Amino acid sequence: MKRFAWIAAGGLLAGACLSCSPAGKPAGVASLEDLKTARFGVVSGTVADQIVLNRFPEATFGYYPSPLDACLAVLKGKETAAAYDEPILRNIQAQNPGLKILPEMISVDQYAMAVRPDDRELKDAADALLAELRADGRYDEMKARWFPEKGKPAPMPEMAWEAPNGILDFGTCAVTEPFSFIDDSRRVVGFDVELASRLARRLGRELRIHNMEFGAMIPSLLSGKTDLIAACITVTEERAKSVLFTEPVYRGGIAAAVRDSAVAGAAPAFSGLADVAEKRIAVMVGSTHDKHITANFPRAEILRMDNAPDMLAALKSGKCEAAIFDANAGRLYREDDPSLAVLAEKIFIENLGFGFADVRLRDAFNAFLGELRATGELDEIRRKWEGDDGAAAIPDLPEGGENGRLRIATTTVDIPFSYTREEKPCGIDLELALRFAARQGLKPQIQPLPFASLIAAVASGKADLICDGITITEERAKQVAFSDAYYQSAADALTLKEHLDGGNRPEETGSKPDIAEAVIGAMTGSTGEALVRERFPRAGIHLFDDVMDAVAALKARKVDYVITAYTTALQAARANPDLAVLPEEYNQAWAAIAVHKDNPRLLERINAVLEEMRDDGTLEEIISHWVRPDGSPYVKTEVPRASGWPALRVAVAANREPMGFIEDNKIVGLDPELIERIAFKLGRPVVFTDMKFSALIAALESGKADVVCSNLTATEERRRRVAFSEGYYVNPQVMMTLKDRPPAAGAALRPSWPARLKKSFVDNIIREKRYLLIWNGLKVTALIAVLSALLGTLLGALICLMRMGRNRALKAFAKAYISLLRGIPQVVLLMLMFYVVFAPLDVSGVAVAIFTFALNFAAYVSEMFRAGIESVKRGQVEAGVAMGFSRFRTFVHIVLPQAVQRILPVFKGEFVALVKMTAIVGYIAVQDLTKASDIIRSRTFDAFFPLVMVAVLYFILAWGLTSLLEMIRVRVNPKRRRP
Amino acid sequence: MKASCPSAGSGDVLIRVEHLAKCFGETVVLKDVNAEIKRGEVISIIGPSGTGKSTFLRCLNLLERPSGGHIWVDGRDVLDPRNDPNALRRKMGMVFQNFNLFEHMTVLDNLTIGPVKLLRKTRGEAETRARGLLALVGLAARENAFPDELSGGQQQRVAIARCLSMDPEIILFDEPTSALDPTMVSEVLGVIRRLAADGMTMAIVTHEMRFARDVSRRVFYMDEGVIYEEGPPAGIFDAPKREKTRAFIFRIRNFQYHIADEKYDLYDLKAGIEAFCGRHFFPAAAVADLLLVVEETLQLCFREGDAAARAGLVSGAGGLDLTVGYSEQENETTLLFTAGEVLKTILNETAESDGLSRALIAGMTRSLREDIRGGKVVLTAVMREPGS
Repeated sequence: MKRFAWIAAGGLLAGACLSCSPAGKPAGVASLEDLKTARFGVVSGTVADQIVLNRFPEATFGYYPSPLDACLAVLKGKETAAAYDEPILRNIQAQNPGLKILPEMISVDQYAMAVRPDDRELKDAADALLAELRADGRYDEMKARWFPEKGKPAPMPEMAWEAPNGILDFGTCAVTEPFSFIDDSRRVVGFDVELASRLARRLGRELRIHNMEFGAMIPSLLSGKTDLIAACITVTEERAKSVLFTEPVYRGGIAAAVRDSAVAGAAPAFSGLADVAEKRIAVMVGSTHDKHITANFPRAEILRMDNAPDMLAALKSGKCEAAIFDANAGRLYREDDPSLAVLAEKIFIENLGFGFADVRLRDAFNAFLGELRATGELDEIRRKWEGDDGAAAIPDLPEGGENGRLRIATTTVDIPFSYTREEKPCGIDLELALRFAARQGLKPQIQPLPFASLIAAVASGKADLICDGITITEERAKQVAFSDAYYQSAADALTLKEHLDGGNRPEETGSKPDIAEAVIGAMTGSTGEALVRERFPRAGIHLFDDVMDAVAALKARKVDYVITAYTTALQAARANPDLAVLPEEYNQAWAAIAVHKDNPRLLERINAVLEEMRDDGTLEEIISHWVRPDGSPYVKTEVPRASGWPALRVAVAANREPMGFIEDNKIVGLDPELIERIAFKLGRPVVFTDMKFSALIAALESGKADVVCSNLTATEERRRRVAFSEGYYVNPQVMMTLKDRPPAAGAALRPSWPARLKKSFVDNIIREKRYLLIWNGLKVTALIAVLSALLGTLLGALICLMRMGRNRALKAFAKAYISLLRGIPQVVLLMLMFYVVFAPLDVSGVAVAIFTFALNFAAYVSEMFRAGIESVKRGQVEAGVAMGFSRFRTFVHIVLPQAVQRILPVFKGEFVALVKMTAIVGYIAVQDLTKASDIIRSRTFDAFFPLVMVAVLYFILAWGLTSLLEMIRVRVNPKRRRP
Repeated sequence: MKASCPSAGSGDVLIRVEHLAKCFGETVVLKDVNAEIKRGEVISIIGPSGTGKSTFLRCLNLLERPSGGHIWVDGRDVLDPRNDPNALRRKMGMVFQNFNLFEHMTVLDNLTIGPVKLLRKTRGEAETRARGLLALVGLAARENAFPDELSGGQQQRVAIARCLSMDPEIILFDEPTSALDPTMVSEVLGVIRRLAADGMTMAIVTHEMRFARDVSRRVFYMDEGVIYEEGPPAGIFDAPKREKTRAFIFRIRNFQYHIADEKYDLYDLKAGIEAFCGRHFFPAAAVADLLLVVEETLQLCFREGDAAARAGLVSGAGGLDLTVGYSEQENETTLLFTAGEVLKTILNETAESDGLSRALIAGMTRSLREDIRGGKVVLTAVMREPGS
């Protein structure tokens, strides 16, 4: 039974983590007929509902105060369609993406201006004006002005005219945008207003605008208060009985606005930061980004988070639409996670500096920084960490300490400034800080703290130096002494790719829908990589430097496919019978020989030789030596070596059998043979340099090689950097995959969940010895929990004694203590202790944590003790005393054993709560279990494993410790001890 | 000023109390208590509830601190701060109404904790003695039981044994049977009787009058915060001298009940009679007879003839007063019904009576007499011994 429960729980967990069903897209509404039985949003007081009912007797309605509200309801999915005057709907749609107006209208109407029935003169003037406008195209201009496809109507043109002929009183209802409305400068403007203005100008009369209720317009006209009325007035027979309508000014009607299915899910595409101005934006709490966004996007909902992994998780889980990162960090995150994209670059640029408590130390640092800058080391450090490929490290530094120590507070989770790998400090800031410490003869002590606590740490004297890509601001400068800027950082806004693509994402239908969503391995900087990025934007890309690594990853099911050149794929398949090469060729690019752009002569000569070889069949022969689809051995021929001068320096990536590879310590293959033959014809000996594929172009550019002959495809991008010869071989890009996973089956090609779990496990726990982080965190958590429980129990007993004793002052103190401690949130108390109470003293975070939790635990257990003691019957005490025991001995021998029995079960519960509560110690720079998972998450961006792992560990810890208490409880149970 | 013990040196006085007073805040519980307890004496302390019997006892071992007066134990002033109250208490055992056994210990541990921790006996010694004491109180078989596994009577016997384990000079019993089911009272009293026979000095606060009479050398009747009257049991129980004592003794001998009209609560009445009979250990048959006679008499009084008129008449006569009395010497139960003279007769008989009730009553009583005395109708019935 128990095992069953476990399995069920595991299943649930797995289910919760792995099932991510895409939200079903709402069925799009294509035509009016689709709305036969729909629910319409209409404006109360209009006749739109009647008009809809005439057409669709089965329709139902929701009533809204304005057309905008009705449309918003449609956007939110509350109503299927909004029915209202078409031009006004169009106006709303233009300003609210996600709406679509059905081309077929529910009813067709015409809008016109109206005059008094006897004022034919004015009607004729208006009709003449309209005819004129239509004829000379100004009417279309007006239409474009007032009915834009997107956005708000353009401003009303300024018009001025002489008015010798008196006044034209114009009645309108300025809530009928775009016909008549009040603009930002509080003027009544609009299509009808412009028409009226033009009419007044034509007549030489001054236009006097009367803004009134819609229903008041006709009475005002008839009573002579106005001469002309217009505001999206529909021409009806009934109205025509009392007023004289001009020719129609606009043809419209009641239209239906529906959700645009192209942007299903009401997720309009973002094109810049302005698009998320009213959305949710994640920032790091207390950062300058926070300040900037808060100041500039007052309508955004700002999610303030503690660290980058949380922000990324929020972004990826749809809890926010954009997240602001430092540009470098953002770039690294994007490389790690292809679903991320830049929404806006360089929102603003900031100077980063180190913060110091001591001005003298700051000055020393500035001097140190100046030296580094002068020697160029600063740039080097910056470049090293910005391009951290997993191998960057801080050089070994002399162990300082002769001049004391340097307490460095930093988050340690902020790439590329401050982070950890294999428990070693990494990042620009940490390298600078550690070098500085070494220079000063100080022993560095790194204290991990949340970003928001850094300033406080240095201000309260808990740290000597803070560094974490901290922007120098005036406000901060009041609290800390900033160094000179060591770095200029730009902030980028990241969002999910899908937000950018919006509804315009091309559907990857066709032969390989599964590849589109798979994880694909490619060589860094290869054609394949570019191809995958272009063709399968939703696929995950893992980059490898070596095709063998990619194949290993494929076999380990870390990637689903590997894209590579055909020859390479063939070769890999030969070595690994379980690999399959898919027949589809993704490009037909020619491989060519690359030379430096400034060397056209060499290029010419190479081309000439190639031409010659193609003509005499040598090229075909060379290819046949090495490309052997039947799997037969290569044909190796000895190419004579020219003795000329200078040698031709050839860069080749010799890890691509059969194009170029190493055999018997010699670089051989199609490319080497080809270039050797070419060189022979040119009369030059060949010197090969084997390098990484991604370095080939750079080698050529920097002059380290004369030619690159390494199955290099001549892409547009590369052509900008180097010159290419004629193509010598078509080596199409193909996909390799494992044979047991035929794509034709259409099965899900993502790795199975055990495989993903395994990968996640390896990444999060094994790699970089991360288990050590967790183990150390676990020890810290256990230490804090156990020691604070012990200390808290003793302290609790003391408080209980005061509370139950006769001394009134002590009693009052105990009461106050208990209610105070129970009334303060733990995390606040913890920070108070660390940053205020113990700030002047040099006490480690662990000690502060133990003390704080003990204080808190004492408050709870003292009351528990009191209840336990009071639950022992009075008669027990009396019997003890009457027997001759002193009060104290009575307590020890009679009351306490009974009280303990009753307290233990409750105590156990409180203790478990304490164990879990210790998870907040990360706030004061203590690296506990939770913090360990934060650090891991900051490197792997994987929430599942670190969190589940830590949850399980907490459970085991709490369970183990309570089992211990349970054992004690059983032992002290007198009935258990009965002989 | 230090008072000297007037009888210091007269070896047989164990406890002497002078002008003992105790008040709880405003409430004066003990006003002026003077008493002497000699070695080997068994003192019963009786009296109505709330007159300070228990407080007096608890003052003796200083569980309550007296507000005034003096107590000498063995010639020592126990209120002198130089004297250790804990040492005093070791010499004075106490048995509580609610037993107060140490709940987290076995019976044996309850008996050994005192000797081992306080008297510095070895565990072996203490256990041997404890087992002897358990045998004395009849619980040798239950030494490993926990208190909550024993009946009330057994717990109280263990409590007595626990007192004895400390070899006290006196045992104070604070209503030792009040919390017990009636069926368990006698097992506890049996143990106390046994101790009395062995010459243990004891002071017993009790409501068991018969027991008090049997077992004690002297009886203290406490009332109004003082020992109102004291003397040998025969004197107190049979010939109390002072008024309150007499009233108290009468009350415990007699059961009184007032019936205002025909809507009286028969069950309440019967429960009262049963409780009274229980106190005096009436055999069940005698109780049944008594109840039947009362019921039939009331039936005759209210129901015969014109019931409505009778009811009016009874309430007009000021209702009926019933007194049930029991005399131990004669072993005789007497029923007394009285009412105003206007009622004329209580055993109302009319022409329609079938005489059955009358016959039943007559069958169960030895004598039945109705007469008018001092303006009251009085019906006197003396119960016959059941079965005779």
